[in-house]
Amino acid sequence: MAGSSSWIAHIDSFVDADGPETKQAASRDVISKLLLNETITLQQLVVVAGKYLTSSDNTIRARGLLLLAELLHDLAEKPLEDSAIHSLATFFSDRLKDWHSLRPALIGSIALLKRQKRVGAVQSEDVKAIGKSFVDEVEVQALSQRDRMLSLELYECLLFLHGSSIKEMGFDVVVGIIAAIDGEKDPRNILIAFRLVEQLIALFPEPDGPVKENAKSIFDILSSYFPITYNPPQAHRGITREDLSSALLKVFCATSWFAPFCFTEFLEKLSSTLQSAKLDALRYMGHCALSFGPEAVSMFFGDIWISLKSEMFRLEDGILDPKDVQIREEAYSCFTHCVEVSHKDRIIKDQAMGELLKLVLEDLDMVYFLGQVKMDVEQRNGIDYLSADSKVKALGRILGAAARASTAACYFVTKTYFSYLIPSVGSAAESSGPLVEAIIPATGLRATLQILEGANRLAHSLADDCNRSSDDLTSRRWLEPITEAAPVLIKCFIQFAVGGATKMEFSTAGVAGLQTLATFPAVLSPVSEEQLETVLTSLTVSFLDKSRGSDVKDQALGAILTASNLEERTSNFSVDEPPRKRGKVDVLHTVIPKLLGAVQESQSAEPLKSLLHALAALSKHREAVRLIVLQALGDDISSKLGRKLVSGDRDFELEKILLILRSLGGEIIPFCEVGSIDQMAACDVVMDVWRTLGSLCDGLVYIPIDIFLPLMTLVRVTVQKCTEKLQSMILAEGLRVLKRKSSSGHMMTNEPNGCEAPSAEAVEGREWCVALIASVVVGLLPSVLSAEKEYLLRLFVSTSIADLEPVITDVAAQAAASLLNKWQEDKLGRNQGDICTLDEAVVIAVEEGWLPRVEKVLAGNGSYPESVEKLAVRSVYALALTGKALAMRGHSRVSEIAGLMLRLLQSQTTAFKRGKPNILDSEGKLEEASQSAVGKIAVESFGIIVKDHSTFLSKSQNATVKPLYKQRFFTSMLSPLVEAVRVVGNQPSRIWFHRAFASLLSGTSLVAALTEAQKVFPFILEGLSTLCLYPEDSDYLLQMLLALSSFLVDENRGRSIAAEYVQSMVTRLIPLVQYKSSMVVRESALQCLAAIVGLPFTRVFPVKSQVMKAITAALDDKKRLVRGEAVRCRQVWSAISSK
Amino acid sequence: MTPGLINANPVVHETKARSVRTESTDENSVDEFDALEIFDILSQSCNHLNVVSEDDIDVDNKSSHVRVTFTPTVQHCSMATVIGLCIRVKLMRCLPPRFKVDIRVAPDSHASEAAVNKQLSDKERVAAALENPHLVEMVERCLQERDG
Repeated sequence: MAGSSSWIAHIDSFVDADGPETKQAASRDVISKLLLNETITLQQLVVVAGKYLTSSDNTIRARGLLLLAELLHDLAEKPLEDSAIHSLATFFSDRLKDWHSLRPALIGSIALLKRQKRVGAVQSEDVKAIGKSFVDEVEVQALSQRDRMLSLELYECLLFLHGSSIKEMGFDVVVGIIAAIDGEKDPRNILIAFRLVEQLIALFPEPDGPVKENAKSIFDILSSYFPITYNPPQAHRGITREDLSSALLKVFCATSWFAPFCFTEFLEKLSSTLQSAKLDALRYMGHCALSFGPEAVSMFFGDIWISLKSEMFRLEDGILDPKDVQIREEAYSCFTHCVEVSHKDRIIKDQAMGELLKLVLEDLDMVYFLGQVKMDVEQRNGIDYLSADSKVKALGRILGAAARASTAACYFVTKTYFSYLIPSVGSAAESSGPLVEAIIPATGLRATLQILEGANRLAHSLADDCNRSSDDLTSRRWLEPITEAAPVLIKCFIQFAVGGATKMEFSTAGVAGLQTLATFPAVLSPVSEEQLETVLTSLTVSFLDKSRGSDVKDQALGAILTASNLEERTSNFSVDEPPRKRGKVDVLHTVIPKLLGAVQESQSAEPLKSLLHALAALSKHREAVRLIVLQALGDDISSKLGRKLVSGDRDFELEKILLILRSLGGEIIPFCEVGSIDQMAACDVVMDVWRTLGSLCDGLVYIPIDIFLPLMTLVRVTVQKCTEKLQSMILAEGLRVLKRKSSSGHMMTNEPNGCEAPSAEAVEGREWCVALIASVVVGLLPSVLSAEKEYLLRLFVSTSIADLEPVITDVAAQAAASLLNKWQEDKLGRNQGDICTLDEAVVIAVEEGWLPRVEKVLAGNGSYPESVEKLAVRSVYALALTGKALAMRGHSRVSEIAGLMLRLLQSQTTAFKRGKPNILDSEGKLEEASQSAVGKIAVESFGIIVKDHSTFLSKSQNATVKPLYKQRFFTSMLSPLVEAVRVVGNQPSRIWFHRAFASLLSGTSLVAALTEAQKVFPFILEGLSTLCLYPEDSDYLLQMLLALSSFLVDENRGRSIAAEYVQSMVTRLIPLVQYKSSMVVRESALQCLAAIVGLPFTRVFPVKSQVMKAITAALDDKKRLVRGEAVRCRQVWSAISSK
Repeated sequence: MTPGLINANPVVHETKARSVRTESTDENSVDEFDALEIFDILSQSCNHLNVVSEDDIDVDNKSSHVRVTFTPTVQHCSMATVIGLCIRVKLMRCLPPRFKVDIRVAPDSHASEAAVNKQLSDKERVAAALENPHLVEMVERCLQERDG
C-alpha cells in the first residue's frame, strides 16, 4: 500500500484547477492505469474523491466530476458491476442539473451510455433517467459551442445506442431534440443535428407518433438552413458546403411527412433570383419527389409543373452563363424525376398516364405546339429554317426529359407525339413524292430528336442495370410507338443527312437522328435489322459525301464510332447471354467494307486522308476491325508498290500507296497487341513488302527517300511488337532479299556466314535495302540475332559512314548500336567457332570502323577538308550511340568512348585558341570557331548517351537496360569534365566543356546531380557565366537553370549547398534576367531568384538591394509572362525586409 | 475602442469568369501593357469586392500613363482612401517606375468624391501615409493574396 498516498496525491493534483494542464493530464493517466490494472477499484476512488464530488466550491466540484467522467471514458473496455453502473448513472443523471459541472456530467453520461453489453451496459431504467434529467434540466441552445456539441452527442448516444429505451419517452425526447437543435449555427453541430433528426424519424415511424405531430416544427427548423450558404475559407479542410447540403438533403428525404412543407419551400426558393438557391431547390425537389413517392407528391404536381415550365422557358432565352446551363440541366433532371415518380407502380395501360405527364400534355402551350406540328405536317410546310422560338425549344426538351423518365412515360410521350406525326406521314410516305422532305416539319424536328434521345438513354440505363427485373427488358411494349414510327423517321433523317437538305443544321439534325436510332442497345432496339443496315449505310454515305462540310462528316464519323464502341462493349459483356438478336448487321460488316471500298476508289489525297483516319479511329479499340482493315489495306499494296517502282511513275496511285503505308505504320499497327491475330496480319504486310522488293527484277532499282521512310516506319513498328518466331521470319526474308540483290547486281559475294566487310561501293544502289534491314534490327529481341550478326554489324558500320542520305546513315548507326547492345555471348566464350564475342564486335565497329575517321580530325589540328569533317561527324554520332548501347548494358568500354569525346572537345579548345589569338579584335572568328560541326556533335553525344530515344535503344525496342546506368555515367563523367575545365585556363575556351556538361545534365535525373552536389553546384554556376556569352547556347543555359532551380527547391541537401553560394548565384542570375535571346531563360532566372529567398535570412538579406534593382528593370520586360514572373519575384523579395 | 464597421457585411462577389488569353512565347513580338494585365495585377488582391473592373482601367503605353477608376462599396465608405492607397501601392510595386499612376473614385459613387481624389493624387500625403506604420500594416493586409 505504499502507493496509496501517492495516488491520492494525484487526485489532489488533478482537482487543483490552478495547476499546469500537463501535470493534470499526467495525474489522470496514472490513476487510469492503476484502475485498469486493478491496483485500486472504482469504489476506492469514489470514496477518496467523494469530498471533491460533493464540494460546495463550484470549481472543485467540477474538477472532481471531470476526473470521474474522464476515468469512465478510459474504462470503456473494462467490465464493471451492474450495481456500480447503476449508481454511477444515477449520480450523473443527477449531476446534469448542476449547471456549474454540466460539461463533466455530459462527458460522464456519454461515457456511460457508450458502454457495450459485454462489459456491462447501462440499464434501460437508467437510460430513461439520464434522458429525462437531460431533457428537463439542460437548455442546450444557451450553452457554449463545445457544450452544445457534447449535448448533441449525448442525444446521439441515446437515439442510436439506446433507441428502444428512449422510444418509451416518446413526446418528451422529440420536443427535447427540437429545442436542442433550434437555431444551431455551428456547422459541426448542424451535421450532428441532421443525423439526430434522421434517426428520430426512423425511431418514430408511426403515423400518430410524436414526430409526425411535430413534423411542421421540425421542418421549420430544418428549412431555415435551406439553401445552405456556407463559405469556408479557401484553404479550409473541414466541413464543406457540399457535406452540409447532402446531409440536409438526406434529412428532407427521410420522410414523406415533410412533403406538404417541402415543396412549398422549394418552389418559393425556385422563384428567387439567386442562382445557387435555384440550383439547390431543383436538386432537392427531384430527390425528395423520388423518395416521397407518388401519393405524397401528387398534390404538388400542378405547382411544380407551372414553376418548372416558366423556369425552362426562361432558360431558352438568350445566351446562358455557365451557372444557367447548370440550372437548365438540373431543371430537366428534376422534371424527369417528377415524371418518374408520377409513373411509379403504373403499368402501361392507355388510361394510366401519370398526373404530371397528363398536365404536361394538356398544357395549353403544349397543345398549341402539337397542333402546330400537326398543321405543318398536313400543310406540308417545307423546311427552310429551324425555329428559334424559345418555347418550341423548351417544349422539345421537356418531351425528351419526360421520355427518359420511365418506360411508361416514354410510351405515353412517344405515342402522343407520334400520333400527331404518323397518320399524315403515312400518307406522305406512300405518295413518296418530292414533298417527302416535309414529313417532319421544322417545328417538330427538335422535339423528335429530343424524344428519341430520351428513349435511347432510358434503354441504355435499362440494359446496363443488371438488377432490373427482366420485365422491362422482355416487354418491349413501351418501344412500340417508336418502332411504328421508325420507317418514316429513318426516311426523313436520311433525307436530311444524305439528301438535298441545303442547310447545315438540317444535315446535322439528320445525322444526329440516325446516330440515336443506330445506338440503341441491341436488346432494346426499336429498329429492325434491315432498318439498322439502312441507317448505318446512310451514315457511311453521309461521311463519304464530298459535298458535305467537315462538321457533318465529323459528326457522321462520330456516330459510326459510337455505334462501333457500343457493339464492342456489348460483345464483351454478353458472353454468357444468348447470341445477339441482330445477325450480321453491324458496323463491322456494314460500314467497314464500304469505307475500304472507298479507299480503293479514291482519286485525290484529301478524302483519302480522312478515310484512312476514320479507319484508324475505328480500328483503334476493336481488334476485329483492325484485322479486317489490315488484311484489306495490306493486301495488294506491295504488289502495286512493286509495279510503281519498276515503272517509276509518280502519279496519284503512288501517293495513295504512300498514304496507306503511313496510316498503317503510324495509326493502325501501333495498336496491335503482341501475339494477337491482327499481329499476324501486320507481319504478313511486311513479308509481302519484302517479297515484292525481292522480286523486283534488278538490284539497281532506285527507291526515292519519301517512299522508303514510311516503309521503314512500317517495318519498325511491326517488328517491335512481333513474337520471336515472326521476327526471325522477317529478318531471314530481308537478308535473302539483300543477298540476292548483291549477288545479282554486283560481284560482291557474301556466303551466309561471311564476315568480310562490305565496302561502301557495294552498299551503293541498295541502300534502301540496308536501311530497311536496319529498321528490322533496331527492334529485334536479343535472342533472334544469331549467325548473321557479325555480317550485319560490318554492313551497318560501313553504311553508317558511307556517302549516303543522313536518314540512311543514321538508321545504320542506330542498328549497329542496337546490335552491340543486344549482343549475346556464351558464358564459355566463343565455343561456336565463328561467332565473335562482344569485345571483338566492339573492335570491329569502333577501332576498325569509326575511330580512324575521328582520329583524322584529331590529327588534323583544326585544319581538315570538309569531307573528312563530314565523315568524322557521322562517326562521332555512331560512336555516341555505341557508347549509349554499351552504357545501357553496363559495359566498361563506354568510358573509352567518352574519353574520345573529351579529347575532341579539347582539340576544339586548341583550335579555338589558334584561330583567335586576340579575343578583343575578331568577333567573327570567335563565332566561327565556336560553331565547329565536330565540336557540336561531340557536345551532343553526351546528351545522346543519357537521353531516352523512342525509336531505338529503348525498352520498347527490346533493348538491354541496366538500372541506373545514366546515374553511373553522369558520376563517372563529372570529374573528367571538372578537371578539363581546370586545365584550360582561359574562360571563353572552356565553353565546350560547359556545353557538354549542360548536354549531360539534360538527360540525367536530378537526383544524380544532387548526390554529387558539392562538385556539381560550383560547376553549374561557372557554366552560367560562360554560356551566357553566345546566343546559340540558350538551350544549354536553360538546362543549367533548371538544374539550379532543382537545387534551390531540394530541402535535404540542395538548399544547404546553395546557401553557401548566395552572392555568386545572384551575380550570375542578374545578367540572365536581361538575357536577350530567350524569354524562357529570363523567366527561369527570375524563378531561381525568387527561390533564393527561401535560403537563410542572414545570407539573403545583404543581396536584397542588388536583386531588387535587377527585378525592377525586369518589370518593364517586353514579354508579359516575364513581367508576371518579375512581379511575383519582387513580391517575395520585398517581403523579407520586415523581418 | 474599435469603431463599428460602416459596411460590416459587404456583399462578396463571385469573381466572374474572364477570357483567359494565351500568352505568346515568340521572342520577337512585344506584349504591350494593357488594361487586362493591370486588372490581373489588381485582382490578385482586392477584386472580390467588385471595386475595380477591367473597363475602369485606361493604359497609355506610349506616354507611360495608367488611370484606375474604382467604385467604393457604399456612398459613405470610409475605406475609400485606403482602397485607393492599396491600389496605388500595388501598382507601384508591380509596374515599372516609368509609369505615372492616376487613381480616382468613380463619379457620383462617393459622398466626398473630390476630397478623396485630391487626397489620392497628393504625392506628399501618399508618402506620409506610407510612413505611418498602422496604415502600412493595413495596406499590407489588404494586399495579401486572397488565399494567403
